[in-house]
Amino acid sequence: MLRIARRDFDRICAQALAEYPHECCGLLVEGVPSGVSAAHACTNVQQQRHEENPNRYSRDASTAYLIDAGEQLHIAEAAEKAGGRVSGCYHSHIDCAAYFSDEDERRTWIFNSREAGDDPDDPDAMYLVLSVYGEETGSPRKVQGYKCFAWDGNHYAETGVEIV
Amino acid sequence: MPVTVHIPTPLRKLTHNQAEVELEAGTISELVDGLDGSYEGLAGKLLDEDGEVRRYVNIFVNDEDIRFLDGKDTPLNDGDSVSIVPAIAGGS
Repeated sequence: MLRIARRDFDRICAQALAEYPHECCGLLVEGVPSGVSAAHACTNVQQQRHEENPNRYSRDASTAYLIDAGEQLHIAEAAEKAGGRVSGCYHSHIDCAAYFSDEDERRTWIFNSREAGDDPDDPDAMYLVLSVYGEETGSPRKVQGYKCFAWDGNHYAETGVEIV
Repeated sequence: MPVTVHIPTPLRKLTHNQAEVELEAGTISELVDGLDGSYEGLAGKLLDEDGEVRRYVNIFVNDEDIRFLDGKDTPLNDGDSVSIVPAIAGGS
């Protein structure tokens, strides 16, 4: 179950709308002892990487996200110093549903091996996915829905979101 | 004074649960070799089959991404702090 403050959830939605038609992204940092996650917006560097090297990064930012690693490092360090932890991340899907895609799943095994039967690198992480539809579909931009996913020991399954 | 390397959680099973390790190295290449010598299998987690840093692995020296420095040839100095950061990525 992801617990997130209303103001943080609203900020994520605003970011997702502002960055359309690119996917937005950011980190979730869980505070101690509240257990409530705060949102930290990050730069999606996928578009830049795609333009620099389309062979290595075949997708542009309309179908992929890659969190700026420097921002990720600073947020994680600050969270640790404050006694919290990075509890997951969020991103938006453009003109399609909020689901945990094959690409989303694949990128959660970087050091561990899915083929060898390992758990994902961070089996406790939660992944909030927003669905954003907009001008590309002839409608005003709108966050159509959201879902959160977590590893249940065997596969990624939907988990609840409590906005507090 | 050696270099301090910050180990991400999923790799700590290779470093006997140590979050930080120290070793002497003059470049990132030497550092990876040294890590693998002390903690077998670590190089394979960081480098691809061509010996390059894996696409979804980031290495920082004092908060600078080695992609924007000299890559694996990035020099290291005594007291430097090296962080290994797995990318967070995905898409629809």
